[in-house]
Amino acid sequence: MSLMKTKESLSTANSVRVTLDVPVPDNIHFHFSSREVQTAFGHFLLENPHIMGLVFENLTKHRQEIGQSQISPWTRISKAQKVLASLSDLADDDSESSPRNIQQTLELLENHKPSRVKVNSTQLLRDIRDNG
Amino acid sequence: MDNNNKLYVVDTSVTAKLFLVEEQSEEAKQIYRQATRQEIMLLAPELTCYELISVLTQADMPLSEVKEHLLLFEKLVKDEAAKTKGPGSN
Repeated sequence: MSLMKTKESLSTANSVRVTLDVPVPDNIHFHFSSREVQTAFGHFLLENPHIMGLVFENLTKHRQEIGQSQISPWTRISKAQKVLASLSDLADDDSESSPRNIQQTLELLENHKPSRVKVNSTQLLRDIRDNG
Repeated sequence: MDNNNKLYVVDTSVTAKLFLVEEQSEEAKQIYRQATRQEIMLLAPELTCYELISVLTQADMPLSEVKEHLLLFEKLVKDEAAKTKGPGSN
């Protein structure tokens, strides 16, 4: 007996990849189409609904282990969402030069207290450039 | 920002005067005031950040003050009072 794997992968809306390992007698070639696997998997889940519960439980546990930085397939964001997020970032950047921000920066500049140390910054910079 | 605004390349020695009490500190501040109001544009090489850190840390001041100065400089760059440009940037 050997294990045969499906040659096609199933693409689902939730990006779940299903590979079916099926023991088949030797010398017999089986090829399952993705539709057949999908149907079989559907039947299997209908008969064993607790499996999906286990899958979700494992995914949640795995996600907690690897931390929030890595995104599980369940929360993978679409390209469109990424574009929207980048546009939102751009909008935020534009707001940086609003009159309110200019006023805020001017106030910071006016209220900032320089350090009272005896130094000639031009000479010091020259030394740094010459000597590293 | 008005495209007709004059563009100046600012040296680190000018920027450093913002954070130190010395001759021409007021003039340096005036340059940055104008840039913040977007009356002029300032461009600084990316190296300015590193040179500024060197000057401030070697100027014998508490690190807390260095941090405050760098935070203001970061704010100025963020608000485009001064733009820093490296060799590879557009």
